[in-house]
Amino acid sequence: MLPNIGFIFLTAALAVSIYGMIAPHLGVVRNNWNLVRSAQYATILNFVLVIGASAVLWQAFVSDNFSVRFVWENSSTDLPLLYKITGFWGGMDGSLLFWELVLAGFSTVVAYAYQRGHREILPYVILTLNAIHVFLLFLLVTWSNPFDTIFPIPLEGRGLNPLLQHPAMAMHPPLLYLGYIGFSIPFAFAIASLIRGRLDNAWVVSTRRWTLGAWYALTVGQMLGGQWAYEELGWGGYWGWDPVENASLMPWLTGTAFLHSVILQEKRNMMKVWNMVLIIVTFGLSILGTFIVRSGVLNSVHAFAQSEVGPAFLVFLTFAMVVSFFLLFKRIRLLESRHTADTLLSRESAFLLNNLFLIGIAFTVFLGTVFPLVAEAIRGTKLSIQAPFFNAITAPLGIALLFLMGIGTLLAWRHSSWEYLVRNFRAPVALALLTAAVLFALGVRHVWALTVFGGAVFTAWIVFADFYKSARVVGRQQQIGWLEAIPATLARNRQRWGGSLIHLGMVFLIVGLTGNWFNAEKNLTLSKNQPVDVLGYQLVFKESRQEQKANATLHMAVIEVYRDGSLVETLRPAKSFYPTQPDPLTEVDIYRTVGEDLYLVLVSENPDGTVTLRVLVNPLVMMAWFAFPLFTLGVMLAIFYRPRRLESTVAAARLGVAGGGG
Amino acid sequence: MNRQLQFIIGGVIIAAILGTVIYQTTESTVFFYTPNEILAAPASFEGKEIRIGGRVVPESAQWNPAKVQLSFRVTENGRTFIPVVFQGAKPDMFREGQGVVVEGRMESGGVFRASNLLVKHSEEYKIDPSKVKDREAAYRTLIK
Repeated sequence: MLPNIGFIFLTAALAVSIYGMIAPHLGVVRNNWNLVRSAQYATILNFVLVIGASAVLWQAFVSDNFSVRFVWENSSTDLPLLYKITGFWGGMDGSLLFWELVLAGFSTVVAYAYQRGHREILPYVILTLNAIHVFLLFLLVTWSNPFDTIFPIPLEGRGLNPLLQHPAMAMHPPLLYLGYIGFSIPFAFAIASLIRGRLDNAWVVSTRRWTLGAWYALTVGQMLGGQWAYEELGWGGYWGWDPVENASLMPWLTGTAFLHSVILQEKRNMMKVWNMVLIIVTFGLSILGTFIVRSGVLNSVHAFAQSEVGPAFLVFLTFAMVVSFFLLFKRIRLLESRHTADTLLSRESAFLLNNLFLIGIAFTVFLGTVFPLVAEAIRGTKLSIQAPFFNAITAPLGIALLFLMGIGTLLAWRHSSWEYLVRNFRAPVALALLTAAVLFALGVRHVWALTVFGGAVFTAWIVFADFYKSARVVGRQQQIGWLEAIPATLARNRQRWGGSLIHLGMVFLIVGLTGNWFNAEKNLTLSKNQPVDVLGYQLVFKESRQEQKANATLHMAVIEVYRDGSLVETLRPAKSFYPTQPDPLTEVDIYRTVGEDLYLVLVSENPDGTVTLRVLVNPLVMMAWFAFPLFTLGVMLAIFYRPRRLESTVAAARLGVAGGGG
Repeated sequence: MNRQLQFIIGGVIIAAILGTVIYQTTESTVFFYTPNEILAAPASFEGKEIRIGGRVVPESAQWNPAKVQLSFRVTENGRTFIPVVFQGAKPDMFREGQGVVVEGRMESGGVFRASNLLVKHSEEYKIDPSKVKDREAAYRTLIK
């Protein structure tokens, strides 16, 4: 009974969004603002209906209503409550509903938050968002209906894939969706501006927070995905250039490029066409990502769902791209930038290079992900592109970006003088060389890694020095010490310092990734109480044990870890048996330190009482996680920054000075 | 002048990226074959990094914990096969009669030395629990 109500909600929502797609245009054409207002109401109504549908689905999950096929497929009575709730996005149909739910929420915010000052484009923003709603809701009432019922009603569900029963995995998909959906807001503004021919910088400036928020969600979503893979999949790494990982990396790369190049448009009125291209491509890649993940076209550990939804996504993607680029082409004369980078030695150049590098990486990832698909479709050959392909571009360009973060900080807008640069580069360059020399003396021979470590110190130093200088200036003005002046300094230019914090996080992340060049691995079989030296640790196998943990039975090996003769940790790598799953799952155990992770995988418990382990030592993994708090602080700081409208620059500047003290 | 320089620098970077990509496409691409394709001309595959997709011949798997080595045979038609030696941990979901993808090189003796083993689980890899009475025991028989 209840599931039918969910379906009715979705059908009603579809009707409402079709209305919301037509009414704004009619309103503008007939100059009847009431029609536009009715579309705003439609947006709220759509949101309410989708909330209703989601509530019904959640209720079905929590009450173990296995007459709903989707609940039967993704839940079971023994599942902990948290995973019953997150089972909502454990499969495709629920994921799409979740996507629609968030988009409906965002649309409502947009429809009302931008009423003032955006009268001209707002109707078309609503129209564009509703077009996306129509697509999603259409899928939800046809091929991807989460309220599809089955009969006879099964007594037990098939259970959530145990691999997905992990806190990071509970959060990873919704964060990615938040990122994708977040980028559809600036996309909708871009399309609306193109339709109306209102091509000032308003769409860029007023969607800045959405862009930042989307970037953050996508970043954290991917980091959690990496953490999940690291702890749950048990192959010892967190990134494998898997098509599905690439699918979320591509919009991240173009989104990051967009985040930077809109600053050029905001400050220097440049890159107008390019920004349009970037946001359209980012939106397209979000759709492509979903297509790759959900269609099962690529052989991948993630490709669990094959369905008709794949082709539907491809059709929608093609439609969205054709329409977007057609609009862009039609308006291209209005988008001419009056400015270009004046000189080579300017911050503008740093931004241009940043975009070039990021797009270079994105292009490579795109090619490596799509090429096998195209090759199979055209020539019938099956092939796979290996990690070296991706690393060959990503490593050098990533390192270039690392240095660029430092160099760009020192370059002034429009023009920098060589003398100024040389003076300011002296200290960081010396420090970078010193770092590399010390590490070389300590035995690090990997040239690329030495470059990264040098570059990390170089950029971190510049970022700190940059802030220190500003804090000293502010301190002197207010006659306080630079330390006390930190809050005031931050408040003066939140966007800039938010960016600095994120760049610092990026430095940590890149250093953490570099650790992959030093990974060591060994397989060995341990007999009871016989110590074995491996990769700088001494391992002693004490006993095999069985334990019950939530809905799983764990078969674990208790391993004592000694370092330099003293016991540092007892690790329990295990295999877990879930009641609804035929195969056991690997439960790794990790001893983490700042320098490196000791990562143990239980391969087998052997009949003669020995255990076989895979032992991995992964250096610097912890460094990558350090990026997370820095990203969070940086984005929070930057998001509270209110971008000044270009036409009211003077007033905003005056306010900025007045507010500087607080 | 400056604008020209900008385009030159940008052009060089783009050319370098494209060059590397094209070079790596030929260098890091691993082709996928079936056992029959290989058995038709085994010598031509020697020493090349390839992937083979097939089924594990029942009762051919031997797991050697001391050496951490898994050897088995892959087949396409059930009659002819390629012996595979995989140096590494046995995946949880590895089972005889099941589809696998192995990645590695053919050795001169006709043995495939795999460095990577992917287990293809079928679409419906979740079993229907209502059909199994004593679950724990049922699962035990699966892992050996």
